[in-house]
Amino acid sequence: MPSIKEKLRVLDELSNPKTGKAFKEKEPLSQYIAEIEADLQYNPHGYVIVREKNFPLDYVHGACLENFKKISGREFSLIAKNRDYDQILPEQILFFDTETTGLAGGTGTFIFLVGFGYLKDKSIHIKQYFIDEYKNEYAMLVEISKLLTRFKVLGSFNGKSYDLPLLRTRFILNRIPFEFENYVHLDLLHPSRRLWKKKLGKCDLQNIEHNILGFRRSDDIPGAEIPARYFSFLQNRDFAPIKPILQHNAMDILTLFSIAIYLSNAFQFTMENKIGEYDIFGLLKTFEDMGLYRDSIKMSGQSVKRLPREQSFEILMRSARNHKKLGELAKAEEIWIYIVENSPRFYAEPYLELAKLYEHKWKKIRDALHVVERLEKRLAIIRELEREGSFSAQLVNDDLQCRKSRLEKKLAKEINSDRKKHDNGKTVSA
Amino acid sequence: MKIEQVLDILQRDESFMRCVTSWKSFPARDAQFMPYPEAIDKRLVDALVKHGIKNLYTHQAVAVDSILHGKNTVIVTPTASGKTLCYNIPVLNAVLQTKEARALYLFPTKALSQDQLSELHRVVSLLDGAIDFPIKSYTFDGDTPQSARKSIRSSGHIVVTNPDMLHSGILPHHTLWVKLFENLRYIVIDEIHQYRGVFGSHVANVIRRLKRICNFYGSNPLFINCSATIANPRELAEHLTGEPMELVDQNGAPSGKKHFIVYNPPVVNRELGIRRSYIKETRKIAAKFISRLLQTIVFVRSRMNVEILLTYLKDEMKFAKKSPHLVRGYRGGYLPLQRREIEKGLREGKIIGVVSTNALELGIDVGQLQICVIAGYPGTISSTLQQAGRAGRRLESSLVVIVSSSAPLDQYIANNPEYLYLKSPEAGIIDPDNLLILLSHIKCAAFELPFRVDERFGARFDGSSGLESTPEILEYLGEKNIIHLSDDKWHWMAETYPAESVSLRSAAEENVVIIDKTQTHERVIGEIDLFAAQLMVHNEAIYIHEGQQFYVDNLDWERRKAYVHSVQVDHYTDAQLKVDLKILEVFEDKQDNLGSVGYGEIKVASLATMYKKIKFNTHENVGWGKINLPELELHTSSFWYIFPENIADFLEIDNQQLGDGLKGVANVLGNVVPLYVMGDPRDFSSQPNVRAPLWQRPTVFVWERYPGGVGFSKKLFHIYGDVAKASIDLISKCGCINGCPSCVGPLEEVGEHGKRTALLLLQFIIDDKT
Repeated sequence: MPSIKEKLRVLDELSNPKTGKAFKEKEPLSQYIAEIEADLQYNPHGYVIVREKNFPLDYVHGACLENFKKISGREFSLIAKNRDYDQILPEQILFFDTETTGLAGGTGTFIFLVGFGYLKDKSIHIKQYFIDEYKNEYAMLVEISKLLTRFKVLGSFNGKSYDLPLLRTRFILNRIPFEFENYVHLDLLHPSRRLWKKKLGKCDLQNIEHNILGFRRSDDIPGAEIPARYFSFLQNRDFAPIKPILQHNAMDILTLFSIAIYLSNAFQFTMENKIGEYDIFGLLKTFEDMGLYRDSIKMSGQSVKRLPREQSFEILMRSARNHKKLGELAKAEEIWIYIVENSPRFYAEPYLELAKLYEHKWKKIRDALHVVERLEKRLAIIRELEREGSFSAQLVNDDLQCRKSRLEKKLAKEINSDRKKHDNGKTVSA
Repeated sequence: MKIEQVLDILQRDESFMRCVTSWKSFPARDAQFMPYPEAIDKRLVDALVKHGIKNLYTHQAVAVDSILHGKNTVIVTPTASGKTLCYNIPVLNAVLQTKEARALYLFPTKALSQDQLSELHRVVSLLDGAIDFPIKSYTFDGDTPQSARKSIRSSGHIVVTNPDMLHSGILPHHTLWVKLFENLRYIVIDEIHQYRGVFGSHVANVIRRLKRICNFYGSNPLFINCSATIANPRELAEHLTGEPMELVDQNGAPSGKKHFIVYNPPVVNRELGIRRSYIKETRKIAAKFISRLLQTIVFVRSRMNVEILLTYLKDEMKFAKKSPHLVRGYRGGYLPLQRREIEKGLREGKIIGVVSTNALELGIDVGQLQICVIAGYPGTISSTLQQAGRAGRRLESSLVVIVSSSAPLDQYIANNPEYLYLKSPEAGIIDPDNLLILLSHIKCAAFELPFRVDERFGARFDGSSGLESTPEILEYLGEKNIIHLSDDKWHWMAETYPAESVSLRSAAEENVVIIDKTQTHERVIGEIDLFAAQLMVHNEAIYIHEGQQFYVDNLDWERRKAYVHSVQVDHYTDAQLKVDLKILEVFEDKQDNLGSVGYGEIKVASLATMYKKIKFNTHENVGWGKINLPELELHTSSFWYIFPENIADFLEIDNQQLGDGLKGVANVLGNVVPLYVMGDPRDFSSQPNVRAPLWQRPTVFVWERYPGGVGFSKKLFHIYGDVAKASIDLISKCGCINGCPSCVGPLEEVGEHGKRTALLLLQFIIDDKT
């Protein structure tokens, strides 16, 4: 009678049965630990391999790391687009990145390496926790828990939706309370997208390094190889393919510091290297979303002269909108008029804004009507030339008819009552 | 018009009555009530009473009582008997007692989940004002928006989903469902008779995984199962959940008088056993009802037949000078909104007739109709009774008409209608231990939680009865480097997400799709499995589909596609199959007086070698061709019956007759088996063998098409006497002279004496049995 295993072999036609790799002599633990200058850290649950490395603040990794120390709470809050970060100091942030056995997610994805990076004394300190066996997971989680509780703020790249939930899953599976879910978490992916998406398309670390931070790693491994390397290590204990993973992880974490530096630069009011490096509209939108209209206007003012003419009018339009929000209507009017008079491209917005301003705020009905008539003429020409697309012209026109007839009525009423006043005056005087 | 009047008209219609093989009436039955069990929270009882539910039907009260006493319970109830209260009461009761309590509801389809959710909302709303917190219930399936998922996971008291979603969407992410799993009190599995065969064997394993996760979070939920009428509800529920079950099957719901008619269309060619089209007969019968504005539901077996009959019936309405819009179709493929509108129209009586697939068989609420016409036996009694249950109002008579097609099962039912009325013989059979299925789910389970080396998969909540073979299977996966042993636990060690590659409703992936290229746009006309494909759609075959001939231009074996175009020729093709059958292991066998019977594991290799072109009517051989297809191999379970070596002498027949008779027996067994095991005829293959390998005696094999089998063979081994009797009934009551496709197979296959010899052989099996 065939055994279950034999039956399975027949039934389960796995097409490529793995040929038994020559089982490498188990490399003694101590040897590879020494090789990577790591330490074994024991606790009652097992052991973790801990590797620590300092990068002095004058180390340059796309940016000089020194600059990380200079990031202000205001800049952190702008990066995060969240006022909770106002009081945060650089040394409170714990950056982290995990290496896992797959991207599929779910309870079967295992974390075998967690790397951390933080300011310590006069350096950036990288601390990595690696486990060479599944059984040591509990020991690792206990150790990283200790480190995590020392900090208040987490920093990551896509950690909010990937690394942290995965870490949470691992804690739950090991029945360890997970207390880090509600930490303030500076996930640099989202601000990076806000400022670089237009330029980069795909906002991953590699792309950012190549095109923003301006460097290329020399002997890095592709991230997609990582799970397979770990699996083969589990089977044959050959540590050689693991070393580059540790290096890769450390570099990823250093890159997070550089990204934070570059992002913080974006919000400083110096225009050095700014145009072309950042999506200026993303920058302005960040200010505006946080209600910092004055800052947006200031940034607009500095960038407007450096931008191509076409874009500069869009920036001006933003400024006018911000002035309007701040109640500075005269300033807004000035810009709208400037756009109407000078923009080579047609925008309906300034006309309509002026018309609304004159009609509703300043009660200058005649001026409002004048703007509307001017817009009408402009649209007629556009339609004639059919250059700007008849659809948008049509769209504006519909609203316009209504506005115009209302204004005309108001004007007639005004004239009427003026005349009456005039007439009344006459009678009185008579 | 009243239904009694139309019954009268039918009775006086001679041409109709000539085809009626059975007309049975069941008297009306009063409701039987019992008071609410003491243990139910008073607020819930008050709310229900206020809503007019003063008492419970007996089955509801007994079920609730059993559940509240902490017993896993399976409830068997006919359609429209208020079964949802059986589980909604204990579940709501639990939430009233502990705010944190949770329940998981499993329904076989998404549509059904939606329908049950609105029912649930209705019951929950009765509690408004009686409690100070909201009871939240949600469906969770592929359609649930991402934005809603988080709050469902953390705050849904009752999560309604389907086994597929549980398998691929919930269990592999169980850490997101901590609240649910920690507080899970009840697992409700409705329509368990749907979970049979391969699908059921998969679902049983999903439930094993679910229990493993519950165990991890320290919860110990009770199972509440509901089933339609089958022979073995308790056994099926126990196999499915792996827990001992309490059976509740007394029905206290009232019903009106019910008439059951079985109608067998008239024979038009006795020699070939051909009957008049059952679809056209259904048209005539249904037209009698809808033209008189009696609310009627017509069940057909395919989506295409829905449309065909719908067109016919709309025409009939026009003839009768009634609005054709009073008749609607209903099937998968209609938009959800359209379906809701039809369901509402039926409930409100605005729609008089509906032609539906079995989509309306399950518990979707369309109210109770007056008449149900079933075109073609739905394949199982439980389906038949569920469809029939659509007709029946409390204070009125109702009528069910079953119109038989010429398929063997239909003919069996037409000629043995008592089969429908007696205690159902059909059993829901699953084999959760089918190695292939088991292996898939052990992988999924290892992904979800590491396995302890000494763990037994499929254990009960009390830790007993886990699978002995677990460690060996884990070691096998370890050798394949799919899991990795670290200390005393096996951990998942692959980048993949195993649930993704395991489909609970599988077997479809290995089918050949038949594509009609007659017109410029390609059209899929059918699907057949590989074993049938090598016989029926090899290159140059004439494939007959719905009475239409198609020529096979190309069978793309790699891509599993057969390209055909429609033709009209005077011949058909008959492929020769070389079947090589090897017995690998005998699981059990039993000696009768002279014959013997057994079941075990076999290997079947089949190779289509050549085909013959055979002219219609004259059966002349007008040509042949070679078939070049690879050999197909299948490891599976088989049942066999071994005749004594001298059976031909014993029955005084020659060897040719013996061969033909064995063919006939094999054919008829393959067709009758589904009567007893709730499968589809396509789940089985049968094969006669004049000198079987190993024992060198005349033998008939019936094997399962699914690799490894799902328990049908074992069941057959225990009931082969009944199956032989049913086979005799089928053959002897068949209207043909020398055999036809409805019984032993066509004359050309079984020869002149096939029918007679098959009867002799079957009678031998019965007489010989000890």
